[in-house]
Amino acid sequence: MQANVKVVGDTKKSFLTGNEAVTWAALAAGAEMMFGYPITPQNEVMHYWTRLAPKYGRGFLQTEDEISAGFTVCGAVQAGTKAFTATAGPGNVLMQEPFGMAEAMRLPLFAVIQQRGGPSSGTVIYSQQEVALTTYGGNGEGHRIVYSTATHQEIYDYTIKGFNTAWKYRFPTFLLGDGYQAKMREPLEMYDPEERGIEIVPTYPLLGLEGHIGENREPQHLCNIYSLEEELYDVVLRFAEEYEKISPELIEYKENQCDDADIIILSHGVVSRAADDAVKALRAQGIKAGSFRPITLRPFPQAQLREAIAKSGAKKMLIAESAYGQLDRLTKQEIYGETIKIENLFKPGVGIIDYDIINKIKSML
Amino acid sequence: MTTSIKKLPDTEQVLSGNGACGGCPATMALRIVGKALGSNAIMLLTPSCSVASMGMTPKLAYNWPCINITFATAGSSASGITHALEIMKEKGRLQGELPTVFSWVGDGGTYDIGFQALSAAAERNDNMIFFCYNNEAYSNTGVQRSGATPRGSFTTTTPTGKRQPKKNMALLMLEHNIPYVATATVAYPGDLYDKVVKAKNIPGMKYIEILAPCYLGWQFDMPETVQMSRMAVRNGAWLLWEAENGKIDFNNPSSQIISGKKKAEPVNEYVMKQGRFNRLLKGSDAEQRIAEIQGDIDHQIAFMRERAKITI
Repeated sequence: MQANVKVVGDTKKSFLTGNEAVTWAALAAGAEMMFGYPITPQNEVMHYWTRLAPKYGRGFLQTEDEISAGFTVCGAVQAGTKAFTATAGPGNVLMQEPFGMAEAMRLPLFAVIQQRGGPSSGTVIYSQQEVALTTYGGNGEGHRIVYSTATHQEIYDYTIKGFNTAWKYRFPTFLLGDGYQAKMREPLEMYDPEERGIEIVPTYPLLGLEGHIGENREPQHLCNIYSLEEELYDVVLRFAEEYEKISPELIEYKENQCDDADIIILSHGVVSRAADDAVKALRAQGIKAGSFRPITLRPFPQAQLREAIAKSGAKKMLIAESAYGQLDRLTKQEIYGETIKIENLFKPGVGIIDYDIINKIKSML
Repeated sequence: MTTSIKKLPDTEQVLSGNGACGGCPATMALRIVGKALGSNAIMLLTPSCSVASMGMTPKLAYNWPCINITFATAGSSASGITHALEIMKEKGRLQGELPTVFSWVGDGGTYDIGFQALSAAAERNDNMIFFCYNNEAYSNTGVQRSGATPRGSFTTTTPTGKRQPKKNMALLMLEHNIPYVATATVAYPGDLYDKVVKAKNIPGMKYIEILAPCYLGWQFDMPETVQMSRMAVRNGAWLLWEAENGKIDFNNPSSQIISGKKKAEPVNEYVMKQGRFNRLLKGSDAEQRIAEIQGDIDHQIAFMRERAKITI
């Protein structure tokens, strides 16, 4: 609805926090409504949004908890409003109920998750411990699309893309950031989507459609509860088939010097920046390292990772993450059968820098 | 007769070296609560300023066994402990006086996300004291609006002022038919002390709400915490009352305002001393906005006066 309103104007270099970048990108993408509840480290998304949104005729509602914040988004998108929420940690846990519901009803929900340290309230700082929760949380099958960003530019780009993906495919879509990305400042280029030729997927109401059921239209059946086992079975299989069909269009990844690598570093999000720096340093020392980064954690770039392993002939892979094996488990289930030797650098709730990876790689040689 | 501040016990449950802001009303109030409860108590805290300021792990400035719990569960977590204590006592595994189980929760954890669990614990009449230290916003996460934020107040999620009046949470708790409900604030420490002592000796669910003017969220000068607390009572924005078994009694000076012996002071000075209001009162609609704030206060005074007459 608001997509043709210019928010940024001429493309401009900016120096922003990640939370601020989310806000600007959501405005530029034409988001009309944000629902939220206070939780560090995503609070500033709400703060910037409440200050900026009225200037562009957009709305905000603070709910009484995250369950409600998620469900108000579910309600708003059914009415055809481009709505979103942002949360973290324990808020992500509470939002699994609305996220699961959005999966079941195929709602175009978009949420930004700024990961913090767990368990539970844990730390407010940083982690990559919400991978399992965001990709496969809830009582469902993980029919979700999860973008794991590494830079503020990506936060901006994938916030715009996230809305489009959600409304095009109607699977709940997530931008998975973290406390570092949320709070630190970094330069990025802000732009209005049309400046880059990005077409905004139009929104449309899912309920209250024109016409009369039985006369000139079919019922809009957003069923989320079934009386028989077989009914649910049929629906889940249909969703799974659709999800698998669109996966090749959705999968995104970045590969860095894997062609001749003896050792591949696998990481996602902000840790992949340390991995890329490590590759550079290791190569300068004559060690043939490469890095592979899934941008979409769901759907996972399974074939592409297998291909990277095959073409390089690498015998070893290091999985580095600020969690205790969440990316590791996700990866292993996706590349089951590969014989590459996998070692780990797990630092749950703690940042990883290039030296950590370099030292670990050297110990593996 | 209210206990004089000079007569409060010397015992301290809130130790020095904690990380609270200077002039923090929650810490001040907790200190008085500590004097009333003594050391035989178990404290539950939800994510809030009082958790953020309790000291750097593993050091703790609160001299009780403390349990940090999730935001929504102050009622249910305290219920779990109180039930366990009763069973232990029954089976003879716990001798002597049962410890007082109390939750120390901000207004977000009481009015909003924690309301369901609190309401259920009250309905079961579980044996605990639930304290709400009410600083009228989510101060710990950067001062967002809560159900306790008064109309007209700036917060980071209401940059043009909150449009809705606050809930009367203490009254809502009274309507759960629990044996004891009270309101208090830091400018009247003897009143708070007496109420906690009373609550400690009543079995079942007790709810005590303490108005806690937060200099950071309310935007006034740090040394003025107590003054702001006193002003809130004198202008009727905060009414001091207690209800044993459903019968409401007002405490001084609120009782004088309710009985009409003394007029509530106008809200203007109170409002203009606080950045959260006065930053929004420079526009052309300032008069109307102050009138709204005054109107909410007048309405609550009139309503509580009438509500207190119901004694069945």
